[in-house]
Amino acid sequence: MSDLKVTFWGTRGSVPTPGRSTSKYGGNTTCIEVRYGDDILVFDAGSGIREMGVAWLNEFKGNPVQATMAFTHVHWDHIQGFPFFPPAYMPQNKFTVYGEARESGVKELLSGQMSGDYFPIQISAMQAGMEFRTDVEQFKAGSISVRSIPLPHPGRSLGFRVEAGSGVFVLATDCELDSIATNPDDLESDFTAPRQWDPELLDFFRGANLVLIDCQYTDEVCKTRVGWGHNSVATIVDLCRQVHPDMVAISHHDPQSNDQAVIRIADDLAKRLHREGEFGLAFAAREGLTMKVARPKPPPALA
Amino acid sequence: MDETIFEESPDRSVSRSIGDLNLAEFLLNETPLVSMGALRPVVSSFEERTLIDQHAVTIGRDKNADIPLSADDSVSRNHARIRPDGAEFVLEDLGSSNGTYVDGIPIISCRLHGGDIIQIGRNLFLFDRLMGYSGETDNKDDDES
Repeated sequence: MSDLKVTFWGTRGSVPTPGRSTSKYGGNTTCIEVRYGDDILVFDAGSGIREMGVAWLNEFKGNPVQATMAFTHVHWDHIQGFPFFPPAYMPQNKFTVYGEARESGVKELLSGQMSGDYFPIQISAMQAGMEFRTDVEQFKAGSISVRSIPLPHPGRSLGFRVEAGSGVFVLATDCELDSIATNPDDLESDFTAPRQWDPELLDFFRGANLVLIDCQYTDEVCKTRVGWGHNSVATIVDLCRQVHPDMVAISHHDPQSNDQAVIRIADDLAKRLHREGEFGLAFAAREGLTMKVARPKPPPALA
Repeated sequence: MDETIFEESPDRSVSRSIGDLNLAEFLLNETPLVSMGALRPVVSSFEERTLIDQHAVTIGRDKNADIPLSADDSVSRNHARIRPDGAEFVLEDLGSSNGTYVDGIPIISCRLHGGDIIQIGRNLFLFDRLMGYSGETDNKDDDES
């Protein structure tokens, strides 16, 4: 039986942030690849998609690739890598592309960023077959089942729940869950107070082996960035306390966070979860990591 | 020192130079061309530091593995390997029974970064990145980064 696998090609938030100080977690913006057997599903086309495309060229060696793409939202850092995705220019490839129906759809925004003033090659040069769809609430990518939920973010984003075989993966990049807590007064007086969220939201996260979620800020920074659309450690601690994922990977790392800062945020999260009696694995997602979506086995005790 | 940066060369192409130094020639000869990694045991019965260059390094209980961990029954016969990928190195689990971990995270594969902690069975290793200069790759310890 196949495993559900996830590869992180881009985990940075807002803007690509290359350099030595960010090389461990990576500087590319959001792009996440999910595979189950031969089925391929890609979330977002941040700058990480360029490297994914190059990896596909090496893997498929010109053979046709059929894949599904889905966009959480169309902010720049989630679409900017698309013009640099070589498989989109190859006629033998076929993509089904899901994005929410908006005033301007995903197709218009992807092609808009490639219009003459911005980019030398127009989307018409992309010869791969592309079917654009807006029925994002629930869809299939081969034998992978996907459903989405709206998440609070300026302009709105989508969270996705992915299920295949026994694996459950929830992607919730770009969200500020505190903004939809129904007890804001409690949070005003105590930032670590238990949040009250819609049961439907909590059900969306429940039973996940892996939750990949926006945790861009420390609590202190987050208090100064209310409305910016991103989570703090306190929010993720409370979410995990309520939905108990086997693993939680934080993402959308702040461009101002170097590797040490990302480690500090992930370590703070892990320690606070442990204090709460939550023993799921908490870590920072990093570029170039492929992992199985399953309850992790603890490593053997050291010699 | 002559501060001329651009100088017309005899073939009329323009080359960059500083004094008598041709920059392109200098950079092509002196830019690091050889990327290397090293696996340093932190907790292991295997005590040697292993350099990794352009060839994959295998890790397993098999005595013919490049890093043989024969004494540890929690290590699979062919447990993992580290292979070069351009200038990077990628650690791959080879379907082991007890998994391969980077910084405590179970991986199928992971692009390595200097300072990563790798656990295989009951063994812990530290991955180092080394940069070697063309023709000077046998003195890597001095160039550790």
